[in-house]
Amino acid sequence: MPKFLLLIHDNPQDDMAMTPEQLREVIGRYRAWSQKLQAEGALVDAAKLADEGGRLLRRVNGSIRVDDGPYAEAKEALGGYFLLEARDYEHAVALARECPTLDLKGRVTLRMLDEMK
Amino acid sequence: MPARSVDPFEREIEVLFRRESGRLVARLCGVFGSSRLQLAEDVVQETMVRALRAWRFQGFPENPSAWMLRAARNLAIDRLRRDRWLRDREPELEGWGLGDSADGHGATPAAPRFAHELSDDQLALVFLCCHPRVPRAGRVALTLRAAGGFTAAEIARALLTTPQAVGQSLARAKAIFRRLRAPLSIPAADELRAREDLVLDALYVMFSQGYDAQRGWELIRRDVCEEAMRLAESVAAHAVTGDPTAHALAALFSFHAARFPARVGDGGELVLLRDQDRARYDRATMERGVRHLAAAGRGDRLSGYHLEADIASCHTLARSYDETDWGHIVACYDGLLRLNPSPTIAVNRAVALARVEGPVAALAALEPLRRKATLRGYLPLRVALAECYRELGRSADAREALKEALALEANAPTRRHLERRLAATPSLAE
Repeated sequence: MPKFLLLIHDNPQDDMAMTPEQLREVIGRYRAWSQKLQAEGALVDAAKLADEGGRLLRRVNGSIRVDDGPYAEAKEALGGYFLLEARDYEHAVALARECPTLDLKGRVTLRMLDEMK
Repeated sequence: MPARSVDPFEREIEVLFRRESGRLVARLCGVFGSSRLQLAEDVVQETMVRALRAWRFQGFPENPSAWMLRAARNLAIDRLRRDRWLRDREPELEGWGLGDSADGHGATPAAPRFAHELSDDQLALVFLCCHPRVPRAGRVALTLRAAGGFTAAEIARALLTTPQAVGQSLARAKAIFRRLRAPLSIPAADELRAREDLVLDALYVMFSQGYDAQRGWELIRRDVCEEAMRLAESVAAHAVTGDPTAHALAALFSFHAARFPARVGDGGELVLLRDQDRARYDRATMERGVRHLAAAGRGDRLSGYHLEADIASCHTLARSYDETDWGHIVACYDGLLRLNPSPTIAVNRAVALARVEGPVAALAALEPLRRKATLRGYLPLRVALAECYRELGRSADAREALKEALALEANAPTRRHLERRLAATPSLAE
């Protein structure tokens, strides 16, 4: 079965504005969603990325330049990923559609892994 | 109508967040000082956001309390490094959450304290919040917020006000703290006694809020009641504050808490006092109540808590509803009314009076209260009226009172109970 990378893009500042009640509720929604993925055997892996924003490497005038980023100044950051197993894009989209990030202000991108040997 | 069952996970996370935020604010205040209460609260809010952002990927950690304590510690260190004034307090944060105690909180050795100081961070925070210069609404709100982990909406329900008003009280209270530059340490022994009444008052509101959860699926928030009870018992056990009044409050909480197992039916429904299975009352908690009540009797000051504990002990210790000493309960309510002529006490007195003198006498006391504006949202008044009308065979009046009750805000089990009673009261048209 093909694998899909589901990337979560959102802004941590949006979460800071939530009341404790909202936070509790959202944690519950994420848990329900990932349990559903597990029950369907669709969840392969998931991880949060560290908040510091990472490093951006580029060759500039012949030498490698390393900057903070790519998200250091951006409003929206890549927060983490879920690795899913799905029959096809249609199935993967159906799974991603219920991701709680979409009920908040975040976005989700879905990429199929190219595993051609 | 089937009761919606409470998702155990939703319940677990609510209890966890409430408990941990109370504990963390208390511990952070110990480091930052009470004038930085807002800073402590900000760190705790950020900790909860961190939990959300991490747990959505990695799931619930094995020891969520320890996880939150470590996260709070790291965030607190970040804040300290940004603030010169706070930087020298960093050593106090070392070792937080690095131990292996079950809840993550027990690992740090407590700083040495004098015997007459408070050994419990959360109790210390309650004493801090109950500053005499802060008005009552702010004191109670701050205690519930900081030590109880309540949200503004929950506090608003407890204080019969709006979340906006609670926000204003909190902001004013914090402004007073900043102006006072309240001392970094917890109040000294001589100040503890002066604040004790304010602390007991705040704990009373906290327990009441847990006992009468107004919205949602549950009748009682046991975690809230247990926390209020634990704090009251700490006040009662303390060398300086452990006076008879503190014991009276602890006795009151114990007698109410002993009835919890019988007050909620197997389907989560409300079980009225007269229908409760008294064999289900918690004996150990009852015995605690008896011990506290004995200690409460040693003083020469009769507080409202004494009278309320006396009433609660009559209910809890009676062998049956009919064998309850209603005459004594009416006398206690008379005493309470002398201390505090409150219309809600008058309603409860009338309910007891119905058992002694009958529904006509009770109605004579209740009907004038119906016009009181302050009781417009007070559900027990409508229920008591309905009960008297029912006993007198005045079905139409009983239905009217029950309908008024159902128009008020109430938790789901209470609503279902009222709906059942309304359905069981015949209307004249039929």
